[in-house]
Amino acid sequence: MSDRGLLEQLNRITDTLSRSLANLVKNSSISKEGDEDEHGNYNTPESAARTSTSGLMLVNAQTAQLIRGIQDLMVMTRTIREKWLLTQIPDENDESQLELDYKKCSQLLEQWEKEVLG
Amino acid sequence: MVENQSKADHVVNEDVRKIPLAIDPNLIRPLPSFVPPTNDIGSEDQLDNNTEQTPAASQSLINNPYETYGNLPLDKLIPIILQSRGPGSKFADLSEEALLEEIAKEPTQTHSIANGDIDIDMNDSEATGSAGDQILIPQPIEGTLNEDEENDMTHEQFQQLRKNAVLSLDLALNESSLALEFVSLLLSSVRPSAATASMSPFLKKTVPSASLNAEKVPYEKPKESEIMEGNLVTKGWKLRSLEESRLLMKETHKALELTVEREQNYWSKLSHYISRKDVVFRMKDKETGERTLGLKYGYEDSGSRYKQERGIAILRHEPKNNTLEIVPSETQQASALGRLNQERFLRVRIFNKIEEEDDYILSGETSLDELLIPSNNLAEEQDIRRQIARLQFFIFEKELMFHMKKEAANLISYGVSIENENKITVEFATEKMEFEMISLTDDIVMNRQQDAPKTNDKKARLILVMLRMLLVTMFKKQLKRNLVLEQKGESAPKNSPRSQNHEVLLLRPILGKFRHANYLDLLQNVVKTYVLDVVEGATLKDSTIEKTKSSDTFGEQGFDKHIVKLDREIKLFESILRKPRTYLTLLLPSAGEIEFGLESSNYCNASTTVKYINDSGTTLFNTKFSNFKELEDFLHFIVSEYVKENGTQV
Repeated sequence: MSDRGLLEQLNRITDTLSRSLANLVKNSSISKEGDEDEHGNYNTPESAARTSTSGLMLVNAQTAQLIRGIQDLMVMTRTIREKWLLTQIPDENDESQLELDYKKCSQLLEQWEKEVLG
Repeated sequence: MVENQSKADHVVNEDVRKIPLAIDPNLIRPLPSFVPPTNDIGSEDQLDNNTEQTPAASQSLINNPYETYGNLPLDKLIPIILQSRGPGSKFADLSEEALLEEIAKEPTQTHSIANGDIDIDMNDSEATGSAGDQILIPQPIEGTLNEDEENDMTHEQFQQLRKNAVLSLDLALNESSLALEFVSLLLSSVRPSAATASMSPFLKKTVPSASLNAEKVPYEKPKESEIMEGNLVTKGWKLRSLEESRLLMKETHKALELTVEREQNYWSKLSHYISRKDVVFRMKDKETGERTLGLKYGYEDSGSRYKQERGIAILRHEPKNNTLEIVPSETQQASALGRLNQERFLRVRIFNKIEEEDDYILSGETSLDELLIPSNNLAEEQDIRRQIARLQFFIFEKELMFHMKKEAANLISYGVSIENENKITVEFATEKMEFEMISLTDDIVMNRQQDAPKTNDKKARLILVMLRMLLVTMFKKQLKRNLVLEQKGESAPKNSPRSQNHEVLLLRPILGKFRHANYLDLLQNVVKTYVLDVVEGATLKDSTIEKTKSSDTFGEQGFDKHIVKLDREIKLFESILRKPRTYLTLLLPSAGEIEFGLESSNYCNASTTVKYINDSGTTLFNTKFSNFKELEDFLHFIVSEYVKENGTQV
């Protein structure tokens, strides 16, 4: 995935997260909702049940969304890490440190010959 | 008529038991037909069905007492009601209170009456039963449908379900239109215009508007306690759902936190241990099925062409100890096949021949590599780099043995034999070398330092080191070839196995050195016996260096610096890898010189060129011997023919 794609994904996820959190907070109030309903004439037990049921479902849905958003974020971090690890390029300078002393090497090889045969 | 009446009585009561209504629809039968408010179903059919009383074929509406009641014109309905209440009752006497009382008394009453006439009761219960069935049908529809989605539904089943659904819909439609009629009629006394709009033509025709009246029931405001209760329930639900959500989030948080920690651990270890030089790639862990990272420890990218093992390991996180593990993908398969110990290393042993007996004595052996000795330090033992190094070590040793065996197969005539799949023996005149793959067991690790150092330990070690270096040189050659081809824009050709075999130079260069030294000894002995000891003043000198001028030409300057570097490193081993040759010059005082060239065409054999140049500089002989006996004869001949003669002449 490209950097831009990742950024867009990040924006999308944070958006969802904040939205669902806000919704959750909005829905979590108890007293206010009750007050409103008390003054309305339509506060039959059925309608109360209906609102509370839908509120319940909303809370559930938003919770699930919140969790999914976090999980998505984690998947994203993993993707980024993999990207980092897999696209590393060996450093040229690192390799040049192993400069051979050719003369010494050939001397050692000669010595080997003498030692083994001698 | 009396009998009929009494029957009707029972039936009505029976019906009432189920539905609080005072009329039996069956009674309507003899009466003139009526038109239902909805005209989708013919009244004739209904009557027919009614008489038959077949539950399966019955259209739902027939047995519904509500329907028949609603469809009756009032002038017919009222007599029926009166009839059902027994003789002498008047419609005007009926009041709400009296009816309520009756309903309250009903169950016991009907029961006793029902016992009186079984025949009718049976008949009727069947009819109402079917009606009850039909009402219940909508419920099973869903259940059976779901089940049948999996099991194939037969056509009949489907038809049955469809029919049931249609019936239920019809029933519902009818019920609702009846309710509408009732409400409209009720409304007609108060707001005639609004009521007539929703009345069916049939109702308008048969019933005068505003003929139904009812007392106004005052709207009962929900009691304070009811509101309270409702609110409480609502709040309770809300609280519960919030609590559930809280728990869910808490659990998820815990799980995710663990995952985060694990990931963090995994990646910090990775970044600590895995350098940019490692070959890492995505792969699937066959054991756990997880997506994970693989690491290549094999030497394929370094020029190795060993294909027996892929040299790939999985970087796995061990949740138990929270450590990073490296698991070779081959061991997974191998352990599945029951081959467990894949950890083998090459050991070189040198035996010296005991002169008198035909036996050998161990005079030197290579020790265990430091890497194979378990470290006391736990942290070091868990070090991934160490584990990788071990894996690399083992695969390297395996490849070394693999190539050596291939090479050894062609060297039987030179004292090299493959004893078993893990052991190669090389025999010389006075000693014997063993190259053996040893499984790394605990015993070996434990006993590693028990033996006293031996004389040839160093030699064995040197030979092992050289074998490894030669394999690396093979890698480098391959790498260089690939790079050169790449630079030329060609793809690497698939070398045939034969040419690959040919390139293997591990045992031969080392073996060649020993054999060549032996040949040289022999040659020198021969020369000494036949020339030096015979001709006075003759000297033997080594002219190898003059003859083999180094042909170090870096003619490949146009190449990449990597290739140049590889080239230089390969050239370093030239002295080891080139076929052994030695040139000797025998100077004969005032009789010219003899040049000897000891060469080998395949590292192991030996041929001697002899060139005799006389005093005046003309080459008299230039021959080649592969047999020292012939050489002896030839030398003898030259010495006696030319040198001695010359000497006597002088």
